[in-house]
Amino acid sequence: MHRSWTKDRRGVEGFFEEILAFIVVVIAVGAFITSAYSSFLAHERQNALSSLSDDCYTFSRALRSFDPIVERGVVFQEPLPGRLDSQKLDGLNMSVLRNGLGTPHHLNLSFTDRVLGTVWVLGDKPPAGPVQRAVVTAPVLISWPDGRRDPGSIEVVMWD
Amino acid sequence: MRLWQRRKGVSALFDALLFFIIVSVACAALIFSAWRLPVTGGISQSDMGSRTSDIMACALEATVGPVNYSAGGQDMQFSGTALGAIQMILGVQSSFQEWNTSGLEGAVSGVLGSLVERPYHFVLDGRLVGRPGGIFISDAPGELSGMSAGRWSCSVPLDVDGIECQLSLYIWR
Repeated sequence: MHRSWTKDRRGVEGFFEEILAFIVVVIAVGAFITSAYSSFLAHERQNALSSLSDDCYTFSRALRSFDPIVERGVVFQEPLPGRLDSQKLDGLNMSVLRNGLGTPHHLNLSFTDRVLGTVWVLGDKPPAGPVQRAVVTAPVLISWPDGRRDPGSIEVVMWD
Repeated sequence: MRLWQRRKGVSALFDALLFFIIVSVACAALIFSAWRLPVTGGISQSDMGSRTSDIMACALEATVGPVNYSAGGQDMQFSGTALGAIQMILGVQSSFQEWNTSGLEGAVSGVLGSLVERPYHFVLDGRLVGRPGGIFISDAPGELSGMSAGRWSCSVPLDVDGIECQLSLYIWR
C-alpha cells in the first residue's frame, strides 16, 4: 500500500524520533557542562586576581614606607612614610626593592611627580594583551633638595 | 480528541528542542557572567578609608606658592604648605571685611586634584567654630549628590589663630 510522505507517520513518533531527541539533549547537556566549567574556571581566575590585588595593595603600602627611599625627619632622622626623596629615587634599582620587599610576582613601578612631571620607572615591562594584572596607585609626596614637596603618586603593576 | 492524546507538536523531538533552547539561554547567561569579570584588579573599596587618610596627609604637607591673595585691601603673597594656605584662607576670611583668597584656594585645589585620581572626586570642607568664613573646595561641585551613594572621609582638627576648626576631606566616585 502506497502512502504519501505527508501521511507517513513512521519515524516521527517512533525509534528515529527518539534518536534525534536524544542527540539534541546530549548536545544541550554537553554545551551546558562546557559553559559551566569555563565559567567555573573564570571565577577561579577571579579569585586569583583578587589575591593578586591584595598582594599589590600590600606591596604599595610597604613601598610608601620603604626605608631606602623615604625622606627622614630633620631632628630624629626617623623615616617619614609617604614622603619619597627624589635623590634616593634616582639611585633606586630593582635588586634593592626585591631584597627589601621580596615578592614572587612580576612588577612594574612608576613614581610620578605630578607638578614637574618627572617619572621614575622600574621593573619589568608589563605584558601586552589581556593578561591578568593588578594595578594600584598610592598618593605620595616627592621631596626635592630645595625643600619643595610636590604631590605625586606610586603606581604598582603586578602580574604572574 | 483530548489534548493529551494529540501527538502533533507534542513529540519527544519538540520537548528536546525546548530543552535545548532553555539550556542555550542558561549557557549564554553563564558565559556572559564570566565574560564580564575583569582581568585587571585594583584597590578594594574597603581600602579606600586608609587611602583617603593618605591623600589628606600628603595634601596638607605639599608645597604651594608663591600665590597672590589680598586681605583688607592689601595684596600679599604666600609660599608654604597647603596646610598653611588653608589656615591663611580661614584666618583672612574671619579677620578682614575685604579679601580675595581665590588664588590660595586654587593652589590647594590643584594639590588635591593631583592626588585624587579619576574616577574619584573630592570635597574639602572647613568651617571655623562661631566665626564667619570657611573653605569649600571641590573638583565637581555639580555632582555633590553622588556623595551620599558611597564616600570616604577624613577629618583633622585645625587651630586658626586660636579658633577651633574641623577640616574634612570627602572622596567619592
